[in-house]
Amino acid sequence: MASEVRMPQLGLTMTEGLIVHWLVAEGDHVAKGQPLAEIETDKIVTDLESPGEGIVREIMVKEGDIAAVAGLLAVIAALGEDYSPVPGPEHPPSPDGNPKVASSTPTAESSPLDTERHRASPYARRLARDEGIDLDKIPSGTGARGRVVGSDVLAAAKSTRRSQTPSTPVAPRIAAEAGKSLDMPAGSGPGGRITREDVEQPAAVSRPTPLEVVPMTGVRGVIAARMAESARTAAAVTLTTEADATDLAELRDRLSDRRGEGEQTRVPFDAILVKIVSIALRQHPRLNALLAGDEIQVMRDVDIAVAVDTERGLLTPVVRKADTKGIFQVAGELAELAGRARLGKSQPEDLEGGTFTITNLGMHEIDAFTPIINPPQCAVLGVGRICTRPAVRGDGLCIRKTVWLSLTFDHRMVDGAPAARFLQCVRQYVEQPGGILD
Amino acid sequence: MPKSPRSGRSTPHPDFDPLALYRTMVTIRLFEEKVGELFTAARIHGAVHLYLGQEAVATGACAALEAEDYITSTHRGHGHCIAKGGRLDSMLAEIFGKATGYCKGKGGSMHIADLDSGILGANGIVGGGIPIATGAALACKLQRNGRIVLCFFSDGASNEGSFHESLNLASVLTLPVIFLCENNQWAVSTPASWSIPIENVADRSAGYGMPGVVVDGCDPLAVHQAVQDAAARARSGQGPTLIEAKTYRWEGHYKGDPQTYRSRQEVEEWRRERDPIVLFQHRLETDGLMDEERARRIQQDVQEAIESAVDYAETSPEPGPELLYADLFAEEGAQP
Amino acid sequence: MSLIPCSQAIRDALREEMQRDPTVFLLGEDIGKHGGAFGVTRGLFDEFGPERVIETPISEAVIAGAAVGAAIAGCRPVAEIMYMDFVTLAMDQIVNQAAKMRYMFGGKAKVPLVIRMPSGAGRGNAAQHMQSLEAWFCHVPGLKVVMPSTPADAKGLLKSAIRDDNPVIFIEHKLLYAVKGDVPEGDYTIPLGKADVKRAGQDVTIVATSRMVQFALEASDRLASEGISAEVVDPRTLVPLDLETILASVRRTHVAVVVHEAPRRGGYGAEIAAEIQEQAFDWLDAPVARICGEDVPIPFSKALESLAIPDTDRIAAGVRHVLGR
Repeated sequence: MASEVRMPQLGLTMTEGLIVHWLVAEGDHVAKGQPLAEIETDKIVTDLESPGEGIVREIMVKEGDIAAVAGLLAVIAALGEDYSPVPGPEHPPSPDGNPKVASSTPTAESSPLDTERHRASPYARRLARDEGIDLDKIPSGTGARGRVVGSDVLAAAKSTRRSQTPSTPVAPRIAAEAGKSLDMPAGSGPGGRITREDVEQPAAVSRPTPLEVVPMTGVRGVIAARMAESARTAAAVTLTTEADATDLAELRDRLSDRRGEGEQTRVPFDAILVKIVSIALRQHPRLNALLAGDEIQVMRDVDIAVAVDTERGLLTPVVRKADTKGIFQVAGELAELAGRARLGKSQPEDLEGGTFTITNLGMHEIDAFTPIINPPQCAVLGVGRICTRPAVRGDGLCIRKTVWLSLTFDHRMVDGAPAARFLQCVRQYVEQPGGILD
Repeated sequence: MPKSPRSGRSTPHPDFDPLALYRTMVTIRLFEEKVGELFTAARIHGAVHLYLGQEAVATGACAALEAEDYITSTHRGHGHCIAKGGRLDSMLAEIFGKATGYCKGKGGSMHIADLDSGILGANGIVGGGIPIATGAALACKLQRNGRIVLCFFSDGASNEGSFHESLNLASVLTLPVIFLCENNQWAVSTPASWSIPIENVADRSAGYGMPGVVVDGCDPLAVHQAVQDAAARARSGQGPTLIEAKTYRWEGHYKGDPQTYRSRQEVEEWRRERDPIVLFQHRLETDGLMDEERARRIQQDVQEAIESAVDYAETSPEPGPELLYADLFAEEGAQP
Repeated sequence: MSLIPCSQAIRDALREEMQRDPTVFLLGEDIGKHGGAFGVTRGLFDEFGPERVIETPISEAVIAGAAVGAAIAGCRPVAEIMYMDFVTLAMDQIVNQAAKMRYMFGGKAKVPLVIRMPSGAGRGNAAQHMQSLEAWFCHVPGLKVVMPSTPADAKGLLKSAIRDDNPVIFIEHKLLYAVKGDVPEGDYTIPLGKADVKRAGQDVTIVATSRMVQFALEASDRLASEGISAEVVDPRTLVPLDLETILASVRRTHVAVVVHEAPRRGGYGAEIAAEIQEQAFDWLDAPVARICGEDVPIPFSKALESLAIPDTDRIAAGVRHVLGR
């Protein structure tokens, strides 16, 4: 009995996945449950397991290609078994197995879709033309024998719309008719929209050949989409303040010593910040809120997302209910989360949700910056480097360790003064951390 | 049931005018000769099947009918149409395939029809008109409108199944139809003497319970009498009659037929000895109704009418493309 | 509404039209006292007499031909050919005469005739009594072709056919004669050339004719429990075909399957499929499929007969196959 290997649905919002790497080749024998490939969604990379035992008869989707959820990726069957059409569980028994009788069922589709021409239905092609979708980006679909059908193209259109540079309504049509591409990082229209003019008269200077082409897919694609959306929709305002972190640095050293042998000896600054921010948010709950349609949902739990730089791009694993956890617990969790993220082994639940984000660029010698809010959150705290600077205390100059805190908040959800008060609170805890971290 | 050939004098129809018969025969003769000429000169296309030599049959038969009576005709039907009152100009225009023809150029020589004159159509299928004539007779009987139907067909058609089924049904239902077989001795290249295993087609009437009459198809008066008798039978509700008119097809099956299947001699003999017009003219002269001068004037008159019909046809327009799909179906509420 | 079998619905149509119009008469074999081979004309002879219900010898050619002649001479005949298989004997009169007269005569004649004939397989009458030959007549310009699938449709369509001034081939499936259905009271007609969506759905359009409509509906119920929502379109009239209703359905579902009992090769399903792919190509997610009878004469053996024509199972399987499920 042949088995179809299809793109699994791994998260509620998942619509497509990327084949990162095939672990088997056509002709290999595989066991049920054996990993066949590594697939990447917008959040994670995971193994694709074989649904059955047999020979890998055909692989339909290449490495580096994307398939829609439930799209056909490969077929596993016994050697020599005729695997098309693959019967479903409800099929009636064929009467007497008489091969001639099959002609009263459609015979048109007995052989596999073997050429690129056949992979998409006429309806899918038309939609692809109208929507400006490149069918090569959808090598396999939900139709019979992996054919890409209209609904696959519509799904792809929906997801690429999120990551594409926005355009004016007429630009895609012009582009399609002229056979030109909408592929440009920004256009000359409002909000960076690509306009008709941009399509019709692209920059006179010819673009040089790139050294490397990184497709905006997978994690990168999602980051791009979310950042652009945030920049487009939030009324972002950034407040900055400089905090005296001398006492905080001393506290960190003391905590690290306390942990003792056998455990990670340093309590990272990020963990301390998570703790500080979570307590501050308890006192300023309006910044622990999510935007849902036209509602501001002030959340009970303080779930702090922490930006982690990984090879694939920026990930933000979440420390849940950070305000209720002790500093060591926070540190431990954060270490695990960040570790998994860097290895590309994050679980979906690591990355879901979050009510506030902290992003630290101090290790890269950045002082202040304007972080982008992680929608649908209300605010994000950017942390710069802690370094030794001259400071004024009383009437005299002295040497202190200071750190810049940059808070970007969404003015739609909260006003400047309350945001400023929150930032003041954070600063106060940074400068006088005693007691809150025990 | 009388089977002997009828010829000689008989009681004519009240409106009977022998000169009218003569004129009709001359019209048919000159018309067919003109059509043959036009075809040979490639001024008309397709195929034509000429009635030359058989003029007496159509003329005598139709003269015995009322104007409202129906006829069905054959592929060799120009004579029937003229005898039943068809217009020369509309006929020729149809043979030329022009929009002014009887059928707007859609039918051609073999499908000329004029329902207003009771001509239910020539027919390209041998024997095709026989069931139709039977059905028309059924309609006349059901509607009690006093009309009868005269069905022209050939010796060849009398071998078709449609002939046998129709005579049988007409007899069983007692229908007011006259089955008139024009035995012109030849069906394409097949002689009737071979394809019909009995002496007379009319003898087949015995199988269908109706009278069978054999007449001299070269004598319009004999034909006229036979049809008149049969018409009276039909109108009085006594049912169908089978009449066989012995005649001869002067030309090939179609114009241009090399006629390799029969001897020139035979043809020439019939043309020389049994020309219906010559025979009838002679008869009329004997009766003091005709002379050379009169005959010449009639012929000239007819010739002019034909020439003018040719002009009419040649100068008429072709049917336009909008007629391609026209008249496929009768629209709701439209009159025929 | 009355729940009556198809044969009675047809009889009612004949009766009502004969009452309405004195030029309507019936012509055929054994249709008088015997009531017709399938009992469809039972009682009409007693009601209307031998001048309206006219029996004939076994003479299909002149039955059809006389109907043509009577039609052009002022009557509205409804001829019956006892089994559709026997229409072969009447082909000249139908194809060369009835279909062509109006056109050939430049619009002079009108041929207001109906030829009724029972078609179809399923009760072991073997190859010469079970055919569905509608494709032949659909292929002759000048004929209208009707194939009802329910008693209500049969009655309304037959009345329209009788009132139509053109030759109509009216094909009644003999296994539908006994099938009961709701028929509206009173005088109603269903226009020729109008399809009927017998079941609404979103995932696939099944175009089915005659007895196959019933099977298509059964297959649709089964498929619904599998999450496939099928729309069943019954053309009712094959010529003129209501292509617009079929295309509108296909534009919504993007998948089309055509089902008929007649053999697949050269069947009318090929015409419908060709029209769909030609006019709705850019809406199709799959090739237009046909589920039809096998290209064999209908065998006598029950087991073989059931293999020779489509059934509910085969229709459901065919739909699944096209959808790739």
